Amino acid sequence: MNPLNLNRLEPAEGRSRHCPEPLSASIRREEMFKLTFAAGLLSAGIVMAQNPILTVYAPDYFTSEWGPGPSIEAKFEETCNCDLVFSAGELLPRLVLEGQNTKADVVIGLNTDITKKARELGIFSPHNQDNSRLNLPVEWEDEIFLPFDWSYVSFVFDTTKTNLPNNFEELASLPENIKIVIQDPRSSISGLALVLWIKQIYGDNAAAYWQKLAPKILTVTKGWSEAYGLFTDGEAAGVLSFTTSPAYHIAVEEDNTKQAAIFKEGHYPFFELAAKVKSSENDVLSSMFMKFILSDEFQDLIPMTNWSYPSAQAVEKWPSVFSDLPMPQSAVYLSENAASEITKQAIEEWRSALSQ
Amino acid sequence: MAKRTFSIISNCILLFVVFGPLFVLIFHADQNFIFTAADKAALEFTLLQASLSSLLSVLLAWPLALALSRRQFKGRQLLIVALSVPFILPVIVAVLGLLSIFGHSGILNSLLQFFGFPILSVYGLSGVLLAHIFFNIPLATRAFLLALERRPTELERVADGLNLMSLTRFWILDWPIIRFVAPQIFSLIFVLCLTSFAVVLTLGGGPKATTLELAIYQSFRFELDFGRAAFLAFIQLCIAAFTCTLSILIFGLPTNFNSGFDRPLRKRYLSVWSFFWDFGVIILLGLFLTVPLISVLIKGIQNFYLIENTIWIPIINSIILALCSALISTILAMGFMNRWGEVVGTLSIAVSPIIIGAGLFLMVRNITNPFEITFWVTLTVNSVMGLPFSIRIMRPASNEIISNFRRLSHAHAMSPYAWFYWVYLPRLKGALTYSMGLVAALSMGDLGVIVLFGGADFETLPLVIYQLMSAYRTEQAMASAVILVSISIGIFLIFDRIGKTRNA
Repeated sequence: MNPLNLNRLEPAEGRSRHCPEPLSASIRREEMFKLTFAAGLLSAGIVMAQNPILTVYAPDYFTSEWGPGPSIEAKFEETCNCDLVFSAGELLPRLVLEGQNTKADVVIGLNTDITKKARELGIFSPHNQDNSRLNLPVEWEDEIFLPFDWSYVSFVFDTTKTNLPNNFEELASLPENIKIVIQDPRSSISGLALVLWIKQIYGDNAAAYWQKLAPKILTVTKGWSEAYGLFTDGEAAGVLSFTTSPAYHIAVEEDNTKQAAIFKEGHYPFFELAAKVKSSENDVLSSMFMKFILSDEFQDLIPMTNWSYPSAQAVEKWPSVFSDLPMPQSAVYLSENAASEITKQAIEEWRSALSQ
Repeated sequence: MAKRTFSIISNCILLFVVFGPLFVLIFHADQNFIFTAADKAALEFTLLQASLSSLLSVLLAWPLALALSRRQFKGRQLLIVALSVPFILPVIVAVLGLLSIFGHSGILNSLLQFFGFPILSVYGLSGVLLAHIFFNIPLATRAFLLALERRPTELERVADGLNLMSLTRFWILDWPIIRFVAPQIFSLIFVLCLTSFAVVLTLGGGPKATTLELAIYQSFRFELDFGRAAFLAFIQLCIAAFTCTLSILIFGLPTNFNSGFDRPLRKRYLSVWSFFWDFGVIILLGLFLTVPLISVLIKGIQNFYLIENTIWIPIINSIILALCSALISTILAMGFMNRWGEVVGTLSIAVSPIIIGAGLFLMVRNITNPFEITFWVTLTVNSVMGLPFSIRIMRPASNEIISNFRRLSHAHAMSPYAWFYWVYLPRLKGALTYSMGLVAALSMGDLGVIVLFGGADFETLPLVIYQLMSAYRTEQAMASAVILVSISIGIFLIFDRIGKTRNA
């Protein structure tokens, strides 16, 4: 055991460099040892077989040691009398490949911009939770997809290099040597969110705005992590990320210089969602898990592990690092139908404007 | 006979792993064979950058290999080993290393700014080429160097004795090697650059630098249009097949050197001018290839204190995976020891892992759930991906053994097994271990299909680095990358050492 790891038992705010690790890390570590010594020769399913198993498909960042997965697993297993097994990887492509034979009971980590496709697959069943318990910047009426966290898409800047722009026009007219990195809307969900955000605000003038913004864009990356890596490495002064990203730097690195620019036009909210799989044989357990998502136990874990706002908690319950963050005035939200109608055009406008 | 059977078996395995998934996927869903204007633009850019990248890598690697082959200096061996590193670094880490030198806020631009010059932007086609050259010069250099070292030293002595003019000398001594090795390496680098996507986008500075691979990824992940993804992958495969066939079968000629007596060349007659040229090349390209690495090392080592105990499991997983892939890949490669084999063997890297992964899934889903056998799937894919490298390393050596000893062993009426055990294997040992070392190192650094097939129960080191990057922990990721590189080099060196031990 690394003694430094002990400070994970402290309350969230007091944390220094070593940051939120799951309460269950030591348990999990032993478990992982056992598992991995088999080095893939055995599948996880064979090793633990007594309790009923709840299989949850989740993205890699979610299940990793540094994501919310492990602590959520431990918390849920305290009460469910079951074995929660995360299965990491691509979500939708995998569900499509598996079709009716999927092992998934619950899927967690979908985004609003792909829910239309996901809904059309017809493999999810209603979450049966009370949507009024949610505390989101928009009215949530979806019966299938349940948000478990959210954040606003935003540009995060290194304030030692530049002042924060207050709107899109100021962003485009930042000094010449101040550059930003964005993500490709064709390969990254946050990149897509930006394109939709700008399309919603500028409408027919979106292409013109992209042309204006083009000289500011140092480069476009495949995904969020590449872009953020370039930013923290000092290659660019700003990066397309989330309003909650600075919380990581404040809480873990005690670094207050990285701040999100809050735009007057309003921000595009980004929800992460969970859904129950229709073909699941564990309906009781998966319903229990959906209920668990809205509970304080789950919601408490979200901010400091997934670096986003919890979806069903009043602001007063958020860690102060989060409630102290500047909050955009309004949300520029697109329903999935509205989004899917303009997506193709918005991406094409982005592509042709930036290809010149 | 046994050789032929083995060759057929390995070809079948390859075709099963590469073409099977592709065709299963094409015919799985709706067939959407539309080729849009954006696809056309992507295809054009892909071809442009891949041809230029591979041409430049080969052109630059030749003088470096020549210089390294005729100069002895302290640290030569170290430099040659360091040359393999860019290749095995996780993409994003290598890109950060490059950008710390050539980027907007890199050392180069800081210097330019200090002296009052305007900032140079690396982003664009130049950035893409820079990165691809950085990744691939080492590969080409090693291939040339191996060929140069195999050239009988007697030829040089005769050339020196005849006092040949440099042009004649080049034509007689060097050109046959270039003619043989360059097309092999060109085609390999071409295919590698063809499927490159994250690097191209990041250093290309925007959607102008889009490759087909991005469209494949987009169709697969976002549009869930597997038919289209497979269709685009098929186009990519055709391009790769065409290039390989053209370069290897038409331009590639085997060297016609006879065998020498393996005697070292004690004295070389080299001009003073060539001394400056050689060291100029070594220093310039050496700096280009090593400085970004040093920057990665420094960043990583600074952050070693962030590394957690849990990293041991992914390390062990990665090592097991790497060693197994190396073994399988090298054994399989022995079935591809002819020119056709080389063409076919290269196609395995022309299809994106994501397509292979998805297709394999569809193929075996009635037998087992592949998500429960992540290790085996990853192992299969990694082994096949290592094949083109193994083949290229071993084929020249294998050809040489066969042409030099075949008749002799026939004369001795050796049985095929005796030939294999007593003649073939011991002489192939150097190439064999180098191939295993390289494939192991490659497999160590490969993220590959594991992103699709996930890893709560099977995590590799590259996956952990990727997870760290997506959890804001760039610094810890850099530190882990240094561990990854050190282990890869370690494995590589161990194999190198085994290869150099004398036979009983």
